[in-house]
Amino acid sequence: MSGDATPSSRTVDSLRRRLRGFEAKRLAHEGRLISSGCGDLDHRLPGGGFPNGSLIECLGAGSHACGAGLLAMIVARQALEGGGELVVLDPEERFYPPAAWGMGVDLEKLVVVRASRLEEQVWALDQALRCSGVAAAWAPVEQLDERQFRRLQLAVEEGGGLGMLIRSRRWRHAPSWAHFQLLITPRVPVRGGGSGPEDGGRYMRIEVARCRHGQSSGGLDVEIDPASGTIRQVSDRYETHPLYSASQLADPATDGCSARAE
Amino acid sequence: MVARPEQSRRGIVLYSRDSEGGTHVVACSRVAIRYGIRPGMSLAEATALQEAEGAVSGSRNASPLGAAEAFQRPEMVGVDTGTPSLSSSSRDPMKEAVKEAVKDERSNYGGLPFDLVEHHPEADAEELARLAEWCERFSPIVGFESLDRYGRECPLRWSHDCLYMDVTHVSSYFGGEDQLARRVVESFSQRGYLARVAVADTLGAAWACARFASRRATVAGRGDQRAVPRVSFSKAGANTGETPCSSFMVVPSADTFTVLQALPVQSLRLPAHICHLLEKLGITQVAQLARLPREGLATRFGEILPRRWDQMFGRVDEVLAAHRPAPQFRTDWSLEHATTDQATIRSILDRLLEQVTHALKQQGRGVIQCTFNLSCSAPVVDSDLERSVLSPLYFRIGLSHPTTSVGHLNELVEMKLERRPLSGPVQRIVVEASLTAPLGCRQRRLFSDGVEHEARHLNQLLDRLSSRLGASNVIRPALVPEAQPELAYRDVPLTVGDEFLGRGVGEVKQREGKGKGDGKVGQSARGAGQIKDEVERERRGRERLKQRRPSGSIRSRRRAGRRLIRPLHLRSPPLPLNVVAVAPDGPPAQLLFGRRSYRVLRFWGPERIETGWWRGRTVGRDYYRLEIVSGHWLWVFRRFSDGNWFLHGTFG
Repeated sequence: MSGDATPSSRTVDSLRRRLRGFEAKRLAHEGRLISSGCGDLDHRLPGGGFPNGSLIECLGAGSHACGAGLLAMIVARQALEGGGELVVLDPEERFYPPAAWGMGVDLEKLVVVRASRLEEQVWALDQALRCSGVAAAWAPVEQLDERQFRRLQLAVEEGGGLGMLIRSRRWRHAPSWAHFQLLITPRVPVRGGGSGPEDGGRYMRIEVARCRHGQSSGGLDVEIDPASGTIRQVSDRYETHPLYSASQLADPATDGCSARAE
Repeated sequence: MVARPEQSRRGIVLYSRDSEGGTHVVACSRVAIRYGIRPGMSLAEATALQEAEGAVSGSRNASPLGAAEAFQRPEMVGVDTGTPSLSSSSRDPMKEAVKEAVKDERSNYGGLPFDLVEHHPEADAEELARLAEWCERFSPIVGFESLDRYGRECPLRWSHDCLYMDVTHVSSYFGGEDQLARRVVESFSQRGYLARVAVADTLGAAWACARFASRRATVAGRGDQRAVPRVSFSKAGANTGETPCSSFMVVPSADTFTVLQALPVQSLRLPAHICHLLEKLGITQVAQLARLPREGLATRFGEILPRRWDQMFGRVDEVLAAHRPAPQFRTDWSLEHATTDQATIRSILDRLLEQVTHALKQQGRGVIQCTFNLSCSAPVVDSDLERSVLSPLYFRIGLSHPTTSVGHLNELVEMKLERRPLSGPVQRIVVEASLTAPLGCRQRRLFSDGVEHEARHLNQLLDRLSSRLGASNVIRPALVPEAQPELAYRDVPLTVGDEFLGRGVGEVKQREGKGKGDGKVGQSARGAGQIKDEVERERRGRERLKQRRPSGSIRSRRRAGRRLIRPLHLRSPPLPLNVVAVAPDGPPAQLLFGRRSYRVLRFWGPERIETGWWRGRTVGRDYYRLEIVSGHWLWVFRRFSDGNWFLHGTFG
């Protein structure tokens, strides 16, 4: 809280803290919090993790190579530790299961659903989120109208799992029914050019842009260790390059404007 | 011919039409054979032969014989009786022979004409099924031969022409295997059939001996006790060139290899193209094949050859699929007045499902697959018949686990009906549990932990997803020990889909490990107990796979542990790239997309993958993980053959 805050804003902040405290106590009591895999990120979430029955929107600069899908998969892996199955929606039939296996996801608990049409994707996702046997659903879905979004929100609250929606950042200011909205920005190390496994970390900035029962927080710079798949906070070894990605140019379906808007 | 013995003195030619409209002789009687007619020749040739001698009095439109007559291929197969075989280059001498034959026939049979009869394979199948049922007096397990020897050439269920009997521990009731075989032959003779019977240790050996072993190779084995004796009998004289007659042989275990190695390679139940390929290579006998190194057989001739070899010599098990299906649970409802009222139709379906599930519950079983047939009276009028044509709405639902929940089944039916509108008023509804499995009974817990509840919900979810999206679109991936990335896993459908149906009762779809898209769990109507067994076997296989020394990509992954070295998204096909590299075979320094270029900040690699030579084309690639200047991670490779670069995946 800055020092020049008005009394009203201080009151609002105080009330918000109290609300967060109540919510955190309730969630912690019920044991329904899922860690993101990064303690520093958990601290920025109300209650210290993602509550079960949450819809999490991971917005990335380009949907295939910016790290949003990777982060969502790591969180989904965390959700699997409490039992249940992971449902992956694969509309473009490009999902590569050996990669999920490499991240520690048990393929015996992985179900891949292929649906080409948008209404089928939304239906399948709705069904998966509504199922109590599904720990998490990982779904790259771009277009969602408000009604569909609301349907997914109700479904995930009924099912009690996690819904990981991987979307492009162009939906940043669109109406959203997600409980959490994370902005993922890829970063690169300042001293690039390394080519060894010891220097193989993947850097990104995670920003909690929207959070129910909480407030948005500033960016958190993290590194994903390829060997362990863990996330840890880092400081100043990287820089941002808001340029087009190769995958965006290679994939005409990807919106190039989103990267330019960064 | 069994039903009408007088036909045995007539020349009968069975012909069939192929998909291109041509007609050819399927089988012919001994009388016809004397005129030079052979199975396989075109009907035009056969007709010309007869017309040349004025022997034809029948016509192509002659009314077909009944099922029993149509089945009489055993007495009418092509048999070499010493007359020259007909070929395009030997017509003149043939005609001379035919003239003599006709003269003999006319004198012998009073100039009886030939009959040209269209072949009805369905009638054959029906008669064979009746025979299989009749054969249960010799063995409790009687089944048809598997048809996969035909490959894609003849995947028709009515192409069965051989019956198997499992006579393990049965022969003692008949006084030994010899007596049993003799009894079978005699019983068939009394019914008017010629049968060739062979008793051997394996299905493959029995099939081969029944079809191809000459009587000189017969070895008496009275009192010989074997673990799994099989009896096979097939149509007489098929492919052997011998005069058809009933015969039987018993092959002792010790002499199995000796007997079998003298047989032709066709005795291995191989598809025709493989037999042809072997013939071109000069391999005509099993003994010659035995001398070849086994390692190369699968590569050169496909997986079926070593599999057949192992089945014949008992190195791998082969399932004898009993012809008698498991008890079927079927019920129907005929409406006095056809209706399109959805509520009525759903109400009837609900009642029928209740009846089926109630019958299943009595036996402790649940539905794995259910078939629905709604006979609709479509508003289409056939001009010839001048009546409305029934166009049934036929669909199936497959489930991941056996269930008797009418509500769940109704939900799946609703989903199907929503997507398939009725073509007209419904007159009759048939519901059949086409695949069932034992229900898992478990004692209820007083304080449930919710796990069972979640598992049930998950199963219902999988059923719903598969029902609407298709079984092949709801899969569980399984790793495959394959170095080529796109083949490193395969899809395992979670429910029994339509693709497993449409095969004969007891047919088993063999799983071929071909990688992505090809790996389907083959299920059959044997019963869903086997489905569970297959899943369990697969799980155990994966466990063994984990214990064994892995190869290729798996090995490298094991070495590196589970690491994020594979992309979350894989492109198929890979996208061509323009790359600037510092060294000719070095790592990429810059990627070019159109007019834009992207500097590579970091790279990891190369990871060399060189594999697939046994599939006909070697795959040689150097893979790199790249981090480009925007922070995105890509997976690219350079192809050995031409040095071109491709984008193969992105790291999510």
